[in-house]
Amino acid sequence: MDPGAIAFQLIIGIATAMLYWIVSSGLTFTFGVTRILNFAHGAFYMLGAYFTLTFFEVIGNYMVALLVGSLLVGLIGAGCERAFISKIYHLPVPFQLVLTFGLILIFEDMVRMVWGAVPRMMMAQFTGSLSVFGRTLPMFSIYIIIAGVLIALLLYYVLSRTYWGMQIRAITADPEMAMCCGLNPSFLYATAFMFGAFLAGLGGGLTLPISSAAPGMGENIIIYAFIVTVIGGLGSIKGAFISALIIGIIEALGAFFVPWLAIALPYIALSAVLLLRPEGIFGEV
Amino acid sequence: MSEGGAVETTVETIETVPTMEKSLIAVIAVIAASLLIPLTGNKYALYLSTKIWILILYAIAFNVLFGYSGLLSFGHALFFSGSAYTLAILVARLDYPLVVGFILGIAAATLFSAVVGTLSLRHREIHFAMVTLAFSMLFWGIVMKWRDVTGGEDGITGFPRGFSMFWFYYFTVLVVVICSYLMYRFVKSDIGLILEGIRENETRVQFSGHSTLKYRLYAMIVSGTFTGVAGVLWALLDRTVTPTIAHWTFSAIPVIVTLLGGPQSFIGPAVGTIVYVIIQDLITKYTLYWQFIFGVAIVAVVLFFRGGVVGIVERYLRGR
Amino acid sequence: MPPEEISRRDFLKYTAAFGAGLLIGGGVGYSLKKPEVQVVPKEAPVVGEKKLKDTIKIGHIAIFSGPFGTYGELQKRGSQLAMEEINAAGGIMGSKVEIIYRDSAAKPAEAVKQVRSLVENEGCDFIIGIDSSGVVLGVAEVMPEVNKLLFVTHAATHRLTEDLVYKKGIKEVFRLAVPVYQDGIMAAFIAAQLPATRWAAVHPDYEYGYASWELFQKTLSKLRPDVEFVAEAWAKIGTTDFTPYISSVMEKKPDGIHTVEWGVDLFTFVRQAKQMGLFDAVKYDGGYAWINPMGYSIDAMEALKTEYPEGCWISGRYVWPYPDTALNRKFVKAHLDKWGHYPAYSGETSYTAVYLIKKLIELTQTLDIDTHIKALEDMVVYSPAGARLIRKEDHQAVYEVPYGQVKHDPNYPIPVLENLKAMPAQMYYKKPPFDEVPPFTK
Repeated sequence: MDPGAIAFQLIIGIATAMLYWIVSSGLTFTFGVTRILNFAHGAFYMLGAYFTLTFFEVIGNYMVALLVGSLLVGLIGAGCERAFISKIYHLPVPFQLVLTFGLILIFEDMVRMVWGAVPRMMMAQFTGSLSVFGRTLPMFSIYIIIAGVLIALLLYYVLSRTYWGMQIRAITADPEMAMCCGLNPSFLYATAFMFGAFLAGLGGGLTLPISSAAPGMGENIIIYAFIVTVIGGLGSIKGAFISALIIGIIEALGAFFVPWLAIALPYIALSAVLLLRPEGIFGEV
Repeated sequence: MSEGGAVETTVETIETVPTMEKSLIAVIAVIAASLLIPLTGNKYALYLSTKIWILILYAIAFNVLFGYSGLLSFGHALFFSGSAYTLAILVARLDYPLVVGFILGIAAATLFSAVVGTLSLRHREIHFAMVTLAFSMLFWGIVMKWRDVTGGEDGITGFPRGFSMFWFYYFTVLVVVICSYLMYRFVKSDIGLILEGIRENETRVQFSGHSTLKYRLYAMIVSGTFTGVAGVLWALLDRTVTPTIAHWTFSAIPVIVTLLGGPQSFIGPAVGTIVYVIIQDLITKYTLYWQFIFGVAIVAVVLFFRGGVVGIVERYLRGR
Repeated sequence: MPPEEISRRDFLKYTAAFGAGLLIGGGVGYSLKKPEVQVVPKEAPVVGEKKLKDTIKIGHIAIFSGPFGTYGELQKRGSQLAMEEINAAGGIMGSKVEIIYRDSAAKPAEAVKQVRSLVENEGCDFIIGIDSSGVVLGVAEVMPEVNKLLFVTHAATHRLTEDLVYKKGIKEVFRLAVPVYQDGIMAAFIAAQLPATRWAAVHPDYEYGYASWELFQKTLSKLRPDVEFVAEAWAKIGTTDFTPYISSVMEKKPDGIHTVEWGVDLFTFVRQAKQMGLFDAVKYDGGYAWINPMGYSIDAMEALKTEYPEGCWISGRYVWPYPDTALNRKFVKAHLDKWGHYPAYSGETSYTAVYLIKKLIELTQTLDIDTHIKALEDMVVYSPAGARLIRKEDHQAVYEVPYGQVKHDPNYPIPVLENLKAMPAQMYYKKPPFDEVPPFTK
């Protein structure tokens, strides 16, 4: 076996992993702060793709469109939090799952009404390729890896260096104590939700140049985001990063060595991890 | 029954007799009314009612675990499809008689629930939901991939129902009513009481000398087995099994209908199922954008009608 | 225990409840009983151009939601166009045509429910449509029970016609679209003419992918014993990142690619394959050894446009430039005028299905299913896609669809096909009893 082939497959796997990481980061962040497992995260991802597409068609600059689009998704997320999610913080998990499931259905049909059922593509960005180990590595893989690392750094910076991040950490660690110290939980939960939705929208906008915007595109990715989040430990951002790497690399090596099994691999990994460590790799019970 | 138990039961009886009696009357009336549906000659109403009965069994079985033990399973599709596939494989592929497929299908669900229960019951809340989800999706992967046996995405077709639609309806009603009665007896038995105790305060039940794990496993097996009964009935209704019934989205159905109907009462999930199926049927009839309206309905239920349909009715009765 | 009389009172109460339930149920049930389900009895003599019903109702079931929701839209364009044309010209023997659209949500159980609802509640006389193979197999099973004809306009699984119609004898099902023979067998005939000898597969991970690849391999190894099948990749439906699959396949150094990816996955796959150089790897003198049977789907062409490299071999279950007949030109023009889009393959099959229903009723002057089945068997249907022979044994419409090479033409909004290659359908459709894979030896 050519070692170059495996090394190359690893790089490809890391790129796939970063895609999963970007989508899972918002999911696990929101859960960590608000304890809400947000099914509608996939819908925010889809909205991110559509907004970026539309702004790109108007503005013509992908980076600007991506930012504006994701921010708009963040605002919609905050709106959802104020209107719906904030009413169910005290309710058991199934209520949260069902409510956010309802939101998915609503957003999906709204997208169909506004943009139509036909999937839409954006002009390709980041075309071109590099030669790595004598093989062609497309630019977009590199760009996804860079984006993933940047988002990891952004999260690290926001949480550890900004005042808002410190407040978020405080309310995550001990909500009651934080409130006693005068922190405003409504504001923090709404902004945390907004940030999570922003990350989801960013994920959708980032994948747009390599795929397309389609109704229901969130359904496919959200289950992977769930797997990543659960393996990493619900609410653990570090865990999501590591487990995204695991799932991405497993998928890439699986496609190479056991192509016929690829579809089942994430679930095998999930079952194995949960049996050994039900709280996930970095999770707390 | 112990002395303490007797006292508690009396207290409960005093409080709930009027509502109990009313619901029993309502249940009997509904069953009686539904017995006439086949005689109207409206075939679609017959088909849809059969489906509702099957989903009612699925929802009640799910709620034995969720409502009475507080365990949210997100993998009940595993037991449902496990029994349906066992029946289909035995009858369509191996030419066993239908009765054998029916019984062994249910047995398969029992086995699956025992295995999954043993492996997953150490976990709680969202973790339990995730472990059951993982197992059911693993099963889905097997169904998709073991094509020689399961037919992959195409599934298995071409086995008999054993009844005409007319008589299958009565058969279904009979099976569902008997199974529901058995489950009712189970949740009202000593084991059921202990389960509710575990749901409310696990440590205390442990202090009283009960192995909570054991009782949870009982609940899991009862729930899984009756879900399996629903699964074989489902397979017979359309005479087709496909991987969609093994997918996690199918595990979401009992969760939704239970919340819709109200998890606190035994018949809540049944009411939720009826409302769910009929609303969905009406919406899809009038618009291709049915998801939107359905989504709005779900959100509204969670936000405004949290006790479910049964909760609303109860509130109305009490207020009077 | 409470005294006996109370339980007697209870008993009376429950009996009364039971009785009341029966009464209410009976009332509701009676009101549900729809008179409109009644069809003109078959023994009733029908003379000349006498109306059979006020409205001929057709139920059209397709995927309208989710990532593949566009496929319902594409079908609807065809059937709605046909309906409007027919109604404008006076309907079917004076009866108006009405089409009711329902979403299958790509779920067999949902589609079966809709079939029953359409037939038993709405009083539909025919069912058309159906997109995916798992769904069509489930629906076919109930057609004898609801006793209506089903015209399949998209789903391609060979198991429908080979197993259910031919072997099991479900006579109510007809398919107007090309089955996987186009995706597997005809693809192999094209592949045999290309210089490539190391073929690899990138397929969606479900039955359609397996069936196409299996037929492709069988036929191609008979035609060209020198070829090898070097790699296969199975990507789940809805894959966003194809790179691991593409790089795994490229590692095996193929010089030909067979892919039956379709819909939104195809857009993603083509875009990523291009950037990873998969097309360059399969280039030959005169094009790319790249065979994508459903590539000439309108949604893919409109999304990818010039991004789909010139010289790839693609096809569909109908392609609008073929055949060059007056009927086809008229259909393409009408479709363009009405919708502003070229017709998709499932648009043509849906259009043909509605017109076939018209012909069938005019020919037989009845709505009786058995008469219809007899009339349809061995019927030749003239349609935009050419002459279709409805084979008696398996109820498959036999007609040929060409493969062509992608060509970017500034005069058209979407790529066109050049170098069209077709062969007589009889030569590449499997024949009853379906033991042999083409090329046939006799």
